[in-house]
This record gives sequence, structure tokens and C-alpha cells, in this order.
Amino acid sequence: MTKYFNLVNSFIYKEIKTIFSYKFHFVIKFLFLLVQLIIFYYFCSLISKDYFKFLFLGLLFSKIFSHTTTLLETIKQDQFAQTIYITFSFPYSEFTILLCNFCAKTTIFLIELLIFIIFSILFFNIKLNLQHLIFLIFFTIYTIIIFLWYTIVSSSLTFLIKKSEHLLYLINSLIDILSGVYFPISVLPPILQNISYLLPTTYLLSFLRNTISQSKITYELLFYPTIFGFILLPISILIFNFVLKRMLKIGRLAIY
Amino acid sequence: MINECIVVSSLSKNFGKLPVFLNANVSIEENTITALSGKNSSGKTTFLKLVSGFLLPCSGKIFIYNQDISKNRMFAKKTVSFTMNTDYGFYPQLTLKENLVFLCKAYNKTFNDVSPFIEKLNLKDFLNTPFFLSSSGIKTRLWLISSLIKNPKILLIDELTKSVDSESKQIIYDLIKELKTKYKLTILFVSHDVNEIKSLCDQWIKIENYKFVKIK
Repeated sequence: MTKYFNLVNSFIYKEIKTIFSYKFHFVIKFLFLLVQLIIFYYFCSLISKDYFKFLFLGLLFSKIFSHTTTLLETIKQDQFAQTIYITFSFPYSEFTILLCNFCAKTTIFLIELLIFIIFSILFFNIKLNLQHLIFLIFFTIYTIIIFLWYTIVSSSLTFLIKKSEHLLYLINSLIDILSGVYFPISVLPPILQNISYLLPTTYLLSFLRNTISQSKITYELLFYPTIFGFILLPISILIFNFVLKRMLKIGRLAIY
Repeated sequence: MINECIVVSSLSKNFGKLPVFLNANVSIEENTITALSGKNSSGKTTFLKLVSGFLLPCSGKIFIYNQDISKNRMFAKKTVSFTMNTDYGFYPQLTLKENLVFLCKAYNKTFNDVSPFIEKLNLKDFLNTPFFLSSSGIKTRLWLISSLIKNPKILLIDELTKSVDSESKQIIYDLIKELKTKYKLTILFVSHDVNEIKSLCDQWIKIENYKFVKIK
């Protein structure tokens, strides 16, 4: 177990050093976050007073969900810089290496998410107490675990189809809209509502909103996404192993 | 008794319709320095990638210490290190030291473990230079040091001295000899330099017509 912890630790070290070597990007990232919140806050204020609270939780969920495809960028950058040769030389399976890398990225992501929440509390009149914050940390980790299959599939796709990131961005954007990130799914056309109810993200987002906005814990909403996640996880691992073997055969593992 | 640590049996590899190896066989003895040469695109780097487990053969087998690495790639990962000939391969914005610390942490080692090699390869003055600002010669030395972090039994080197000055070349040659004698490593290196091959290696293999030919 210690060796895996050390591997995660090494990736955290690399992430922190990289963040501080791109200081300008670091500052711009938080400025972007602030500007994004200002824009949404302004538009929401034109609709209704409580709409921003609704949207804030949607945006928060969207951030958590899009984090599940973060390995796509990592793999892409590792292929560009050819650092994939040093990381994939570590004496662990490629799957373990990517998973440890993902754990490191998730640690950094939790800090970023916390900053996002603090911004919202300080400047945008979002009322969250300590209990809510603890709940959000657990919810984030839970969501990331439930969507681990999506992380693995998106990583496999990055190896298999070069420049596939736009496809994933498109899928993520559609999932955002259909899950009710920006507006309630009841305003969608009936056919799209049917699709919404098939998505596990819809239930997770409803669970998040119920818990934070209405202080109502609706565990039954977690049933479908959990089953969905645990069924697809072994399938996604099989897909990853198949893609890896294929890349090793055709020699395109390190090529973007 | 001769111990063969790398045995290649009926190896075939092609990329699409382009053949690289056709039913090729070769064996490399333990604790030797072996040179690998051949024309451009003859398959030298491909062979190193096959031995290190970064590529899988189309047919045939590669054994490392009697382990079929197509079936047991983890064994190749644990025993083989690959020193590449590229200006990339490390995190560009990170300094040489930060890159090495990252690798040391991943291999459960400390930075002190690589310090002797840093001293030997005169890299101390460049440790705080970002990788992207380093010269090709410095990058080459960093590749060599990073390959030694995991304490490999087999070291694969791809045209290591291509971008280094004559003084640094000698330092690298001395280190390679020391790795063989003191650390008992088996070294397989790709080179086009006949003088380098003759002065350094115990065994010389050429790739010709998709097969291995033993010269020495």
C-alpha cells in the first residue's frame, strides 16, 4: 500500500511543481473562475433571485463531472512531451499508474473546488455551512468513484482515437444540459426528458440539490448511478486493457 | 557458464505493411556490453522498445531471464531501463532536479541515491535549470541518470553520445564500463560510431535484412 501512496505522492509533487512553474496560467485560471461566476450571477439575477443558487449547484456538479475526464489532458500532454515513456516505465501496470496519477489530480482538484466554493460564499451570496462543505467533499469523492468507468473509457479513447478530446467535450456538454445543470429538466422537450432520466448524472445532481437546497437526503436517488457505475467499471477495465494491447502492437502508445 | 539474459526467438514485427523483423533470432549474454547497429530505419530503436515492453511483437518471443515479456511485461518494467535519444521525455517546465525528485519518489528512492551519478556526469551545476532550457548533451545525461534510479539489471541505450562533446563522451564511456563491472549491469546500446563500438563493447550485433547478425 505504501508504494502506491508514494506513487500518488510523486504525482502530487509533479502537479504542484507544474502549477507553480506556470504561474500566469494559475492566476488566469482563478480569474476565469471569477468572471464565469460574475456572468452567471448577472444573468441569473435577470431571471429570479433564487436561480443562481440552483445554477451554482449545477455548475459545481458540472465541475466534478468534467474532472472525471481529466486524464485525457494528462495523457495528451504526456504523449506530446514523451513523458509517457518515463511514467509508463514505473514498475506498475499502466492502469495503476494512470489511477495513481488520477488520485493526485483529484487531490489538487478538491483544493480548486474548495476555492470555487469559497469564492461563491464570499462574493455571490451562496449560503453553505460546515456540514454542507463536509457533505460536498464526500459527494465529490463519491461521484468520482461512481464515474471511474467514464475516466477509464475516456482515457482509452484518448489512446485509441487521436484528438478525441473534442468528442468528449461535446459529450460532457450534452450531459450537462440533459442532466439539468443550467435549467430544470422539466423545461426540456419530452423526448429529451426521457433521455435525461436514463443518465445517472441526472439523479446525482438531483441528490445534490435536494441535500443542499432542501436539506432532504434522498438516498434512493443514488441507487441507479451506483449500480450503473459498478456494472460499467469492469467493462471499462476490459476496454482499457484491450486498447493498451492494441497500442503496444501498433506502436502508437506514446504518439498523439 | 554463459548466462543469456535476453533471448529473442523467431521475432517478427511489422508496422502495417512495413516489415522490421522477420523470424529474427539473437541472444545477449549477461553482464556484457553489446552494441547494436544498422542502417537508418533498420529497427534498432524498435528492438529496444520491444525489449523494454513498449512494443509487442507480431509473432515470436522475447525472453528476459527466461521470462516471456509479452506475457509478463511487469518483469520487463522491473528489470529493464531504457535511455532514449530524444530532446523530450521529461516535464519541460520542471528543473532537472525536480524531474529527478519526481522519479525518485515514484521509485521509492531518495534524491541522495542518484547523487553519485549526478557527480560523475557533472550535472550538479545544471540541476536548477528547467529541462526545456537544457542543451541536448545535458538532457542525454539526465536520461542516463533517470534510467539508473530503478536499479535495472539491463540498460538499453539509444545513441547516447550523439549530442555530447568529446570530454563528456569519455565520462559516459567510463560510467558505462563501471555500470558493467561494479553494478553488474547488462548494457545494450545503439550506435553508428565504429570506434565507440570497438572500444566499448564485448559483443556487436547488426540488423540486416530484418534479421540480427553477430559481428563480434
